[in-house]
Amino acid sequence: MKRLAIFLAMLTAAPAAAQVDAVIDDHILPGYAAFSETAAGLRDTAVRDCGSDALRPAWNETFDAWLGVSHLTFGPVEQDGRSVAVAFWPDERGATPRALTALIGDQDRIIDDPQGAAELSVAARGLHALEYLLYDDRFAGSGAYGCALMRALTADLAALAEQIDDAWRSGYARTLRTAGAPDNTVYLGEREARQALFTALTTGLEFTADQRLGRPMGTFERPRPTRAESWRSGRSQRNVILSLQALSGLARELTDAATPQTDAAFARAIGLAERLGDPALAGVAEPSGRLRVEVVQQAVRAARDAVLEEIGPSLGVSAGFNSADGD
Amino acid sequence: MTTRRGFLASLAAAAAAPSLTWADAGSPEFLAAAKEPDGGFALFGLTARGQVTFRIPLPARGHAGAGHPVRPEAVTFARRPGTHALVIDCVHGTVIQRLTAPGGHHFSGHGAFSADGRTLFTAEIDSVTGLGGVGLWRRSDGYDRVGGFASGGIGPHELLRLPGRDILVIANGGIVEGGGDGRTKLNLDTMRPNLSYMTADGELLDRVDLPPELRGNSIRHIAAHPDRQVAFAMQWEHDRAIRPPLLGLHRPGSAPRLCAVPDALAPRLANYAGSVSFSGDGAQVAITCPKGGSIAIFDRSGAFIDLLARADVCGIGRIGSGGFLTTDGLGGLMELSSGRLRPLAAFDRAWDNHLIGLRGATTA
Repeated sequence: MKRLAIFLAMLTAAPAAAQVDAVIDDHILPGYAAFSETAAGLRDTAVRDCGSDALRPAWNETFDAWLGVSHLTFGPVEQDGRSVAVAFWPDERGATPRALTALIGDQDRIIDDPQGAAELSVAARGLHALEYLLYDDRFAGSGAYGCALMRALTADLAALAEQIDDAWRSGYARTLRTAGAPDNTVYLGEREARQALFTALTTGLEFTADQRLGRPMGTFERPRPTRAESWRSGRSQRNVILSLQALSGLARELTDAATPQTDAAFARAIGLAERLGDPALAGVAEPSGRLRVEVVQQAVRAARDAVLEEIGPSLGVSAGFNSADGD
Repeated sequence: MTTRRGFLASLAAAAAAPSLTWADAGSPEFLAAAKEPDGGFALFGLTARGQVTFRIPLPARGHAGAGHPVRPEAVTFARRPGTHALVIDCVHGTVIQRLTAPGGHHFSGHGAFSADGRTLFTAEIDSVTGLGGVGLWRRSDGYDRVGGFASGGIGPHELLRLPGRDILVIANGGIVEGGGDGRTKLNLDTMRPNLSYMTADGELLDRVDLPPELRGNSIRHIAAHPDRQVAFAMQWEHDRAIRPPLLGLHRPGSAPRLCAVPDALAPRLANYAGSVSFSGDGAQVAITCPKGGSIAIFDRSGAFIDLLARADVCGIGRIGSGGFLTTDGLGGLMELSSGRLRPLAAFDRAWDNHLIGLRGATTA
């Protein structure tokens, strides 16, 4: 019986290397390529026209592309704090508007240096700083300096996206593919590559449930609509939908096994998120609106549970032994 | 595989012969517990090069423990909120004694021996109020509990003896836990963690309190430099969007230095440090962050040096060659030196939270 169990485990575990390849080729690399491409488009648009009307569509496309990969919290995106430089959120202490106000107030010429923006505080960089410049009235009339800042920040974002994309193509994809090879000092066994992808899937679902949905929900007595992610641009709901679609895509690539619970849970969560009809999640301010968001949050948590129950065992991995337990 | 009955039967076995030392257990430099692929648990002796010197099955998941300074005896505590600890003869793999926390209390999972090895100190928690205590157990009396005193706070977690003397450092985490699993946190709004220094008689020598805005930072793990500088690692229990420092450095009689990482890297600590250690050469200090899958390294003044990635890393200890040894839940055993992580071994088992140093960690 035990021998049979081992044999079955080998049968289900064996194709996993192919699954890692599939995730890299069909999810990760295209995802970062799209992010790099849209960020370059945003940069080029800013060079031509730094007005909000011209930039908003390109910024939204870039944010959309980022949501295709924002859950991949390992590898090149973690090098030098790049993920935080791309997306500094949540910003509990309002560091982003403070940093931007200071830059504009001082007319700080650091941004004229091509590498200058990379030297700024992470709060003043990336998608969320750009959202303030594009959507917050406080920064609408920032004149020539505002235009230069827009160009510097979009160029910085494009450079970050290109670095991440390059690093995956030129080395990290191979590192992940060759997990367990004698010269691989990052992934000591083949299982570790599956574990990294599985962890990205579960923590991505947690982030959307706890942060993207949970922060604006606050408590029943005190909902916090202005804690929603990118509420100024009215894309908080869209962020939830796109992140769930990306995570659903990762789940599909990650295993060949049939995953009926997972599929159903994702379909339900995405369907509920799509039907919310609350772009900035401002509805949390009212009990009925908050309840609707809470229903989505529960559905996302149900998707996480399904992933843990169904996909984890098929990959021979589970939530981290230490990270899931606490001390 | 050891059955529960067989394991308990070994309780009757005699204590280790008095002349045995750690050399008889293969000269391990660390103790670590792990979950095996078959779901069982075991205690291991490890060298600084990542070799296993012994393996002893355990009846359940352990947390941390303490190694006797001379004799090859390990005390392993059950995972919180456990009420039992086992004293294990690491040469014969037998249980010398089974310790039971006093009524209405549980062990935190950490303990330490006195410099002379005659007394075992255990961190104990009142299961209802969370009030902390330190239990004293005399080895020569078959580990009878011979006394105890208040730990100076709520929810003590790690307890450490300063190198070379019988001064205890206690991380009073500040959290009252309860509920059905005994691990539901009940007082996060009012928690007041502290780091207390005490004599072996329970006299308070010094205490570190955190500033009001950092009271949500549960002080849980401690390491001591041979020169008695103390490093403490914290777990943030308040708003997740805030990223407070998770490492503190302290010397008795002075204010603590709290050590932050740059904003761009802070999220990778996931507001949770699981273990802390100085480096073998004493020049650095590092915290492991299993939830964030990272190790943050600082110099002894508290200045940030680097953040390295390793999934589910938690155990960390100092090694004679100068750097650190780390263990993780994926089974990896790595050396961290010169700013690089180098795999020493990959096991098909999940290493549990802590590496317990037997030599060099606390020079007795």
